[in-house]
Amino acid sequence: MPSAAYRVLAVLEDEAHRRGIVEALESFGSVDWVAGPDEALDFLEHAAPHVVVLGPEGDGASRMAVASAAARASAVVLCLGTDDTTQDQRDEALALGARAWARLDDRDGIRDGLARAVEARRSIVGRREDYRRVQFQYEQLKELSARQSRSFQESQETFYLDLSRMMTIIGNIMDGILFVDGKGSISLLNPVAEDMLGVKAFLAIGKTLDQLEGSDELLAALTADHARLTEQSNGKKEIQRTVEVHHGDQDLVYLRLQTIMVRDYRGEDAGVLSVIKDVTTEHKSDQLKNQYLSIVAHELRTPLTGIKTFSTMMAKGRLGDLNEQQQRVVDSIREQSLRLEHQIDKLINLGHLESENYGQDLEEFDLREFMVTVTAPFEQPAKDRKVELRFDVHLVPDVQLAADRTDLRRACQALVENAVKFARDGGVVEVRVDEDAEGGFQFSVSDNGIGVDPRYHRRIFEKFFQVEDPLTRHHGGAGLGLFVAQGIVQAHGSQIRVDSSLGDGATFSFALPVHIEAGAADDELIEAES
Amino acid sequence: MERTVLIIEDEKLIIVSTQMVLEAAGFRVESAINGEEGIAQAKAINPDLILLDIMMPGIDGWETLTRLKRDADTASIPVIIFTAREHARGHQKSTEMGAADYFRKPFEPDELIDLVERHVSQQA
Repeated sequence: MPSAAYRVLAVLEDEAHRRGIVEALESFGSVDWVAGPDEALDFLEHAAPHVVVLGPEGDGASRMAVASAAARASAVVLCLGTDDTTQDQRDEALALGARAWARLDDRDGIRDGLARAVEARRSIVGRREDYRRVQFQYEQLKELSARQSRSFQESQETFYLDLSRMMTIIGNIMDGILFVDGKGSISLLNPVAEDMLGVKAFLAIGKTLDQLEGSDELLAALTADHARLTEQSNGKKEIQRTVEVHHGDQDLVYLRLQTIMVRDYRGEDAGVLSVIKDVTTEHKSDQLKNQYLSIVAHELRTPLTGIKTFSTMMAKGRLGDLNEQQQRVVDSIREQSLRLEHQIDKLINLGHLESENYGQDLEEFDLREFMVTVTAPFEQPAKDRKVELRFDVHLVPDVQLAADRTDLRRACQALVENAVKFARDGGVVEVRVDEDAEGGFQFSVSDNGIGVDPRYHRRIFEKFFQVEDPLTRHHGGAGLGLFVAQGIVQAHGSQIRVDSSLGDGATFSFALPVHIEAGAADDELIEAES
Repeated sequence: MERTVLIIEDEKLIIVSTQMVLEAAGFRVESAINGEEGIAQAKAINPDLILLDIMMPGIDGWETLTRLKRDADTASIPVIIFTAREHARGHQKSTEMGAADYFRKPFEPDELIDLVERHVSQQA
């Protein structure tokens, strides 16, 4: 049953017609009456009926106007006609957007038409609501999309800014940078690298290293390092070495090559990066320093040789008998010359520290003779500290060593020196060489002194490290002895091990580099990395 | 037969002290204070062993060694390089250049004697 809430605008002039439909309309809702299309238009400007009932008055154009106005007002149109209304006129009505057509005198038809019109309106209005909602959502989506697009643009801009900044850095870095992608093609060559290699980037990009034409020596070194790195992809991730290169017509140039395997965020091989650093100045400065040290060594050691030789000869009675006092005095002079010798050696070695090129000067020598020279300088200091230095040369195996004698002695003596230094008064220091289970020979120094806390067992080999302990604080030293000793032992293919706990003394040991006859034990081959 | 050692060394102190050590062990000791004189002496007296310093005025020890080894008269005399300087790869370099050994100053007199004995007897 239609409610009284429906509003109807009836556009009808003829009184007779009005009378005919008034009942049908008023049973439908509230009704406003106007005489013709013009009035209807006026009405529709400030009113919004649900239904516009359009009589046959007026011409097509004005009726069209009313229909449009009705549509804008969200009203549905019901056209009324007579028996004389032609099909054309009905078609016209429908073309006007009318929802229904009824005959003027057909009350049921009119009521029916009204009902259908209202139904239609409901669905139209509903659709309009939907449409408005959809449009609103569309506007929102557009806004969102615009915002996302702006933020994407911003992040793109940031990305390009970062990228260009990085490229500027790479372009201006003072080291040469070369990047070879996973397929072996050069994808980056910065200006410094261009200069070093003697190749322009735009010619190099896309080619492989061996296709380049430029500094032969440098290219050969890079190609070799790249090949080594990619071959052992499970092992090393980085190779570092210094090469000598002839740069154009200039003198020798020293370049440090650092070649690194690059992995992407997934952990896959993404290529190989090489950084080339010109270290000529440092190298020359190093050479100068070494030359200087060498001269200083000579100047100090020459007079010391005189003192040591003369005092030794005298102390050993080769220049005639001495009375007790003379013997004591000359023994002391000799001892001091040994101390001085030891100190000069330490100072010179400190100067060579950065080179860290241990084990360079290899020779073969007898282990027993060597061990005597290791322990001899500590006999007197041990006696002075009331420490028993136990060393029996007869227990030392009869073996030949192959090593840098000076360096190895330094390493062994560092261990003995520490043991004597940290032994208690009345303590015991034992120096031994024993054959081990694998047929190697272990050099070991044991003491029954204060020992080393296990948590420091690794750190004591660090440069400048010293255990913070009031008991040991007064022992002085620079904290370098074990650092240097470990470096030397490692250069000879072994490692110093420490076995100790607090208050329980300590044993330091390592495997000695034994001389191997040509053709024997190939599995003894040790690679020393620079 | 008395064995002769020729010391080629510019520091008089070293000559005197080394001479003392070797004479006490029964060697006869001659000396020269630079490389050129040393070579002349070597040719003249044909020693059983030469102790050669590196740092000398005029031609240095390495050059002297090269010349000694090149000259047929002196090539077979064992030469021990005898130096107070730090030399990188001193042992290897000495061997490559033809020296019999490489010995650092300061030294233990007994060690020097053992070394000289060893090389002199190898020649015999």
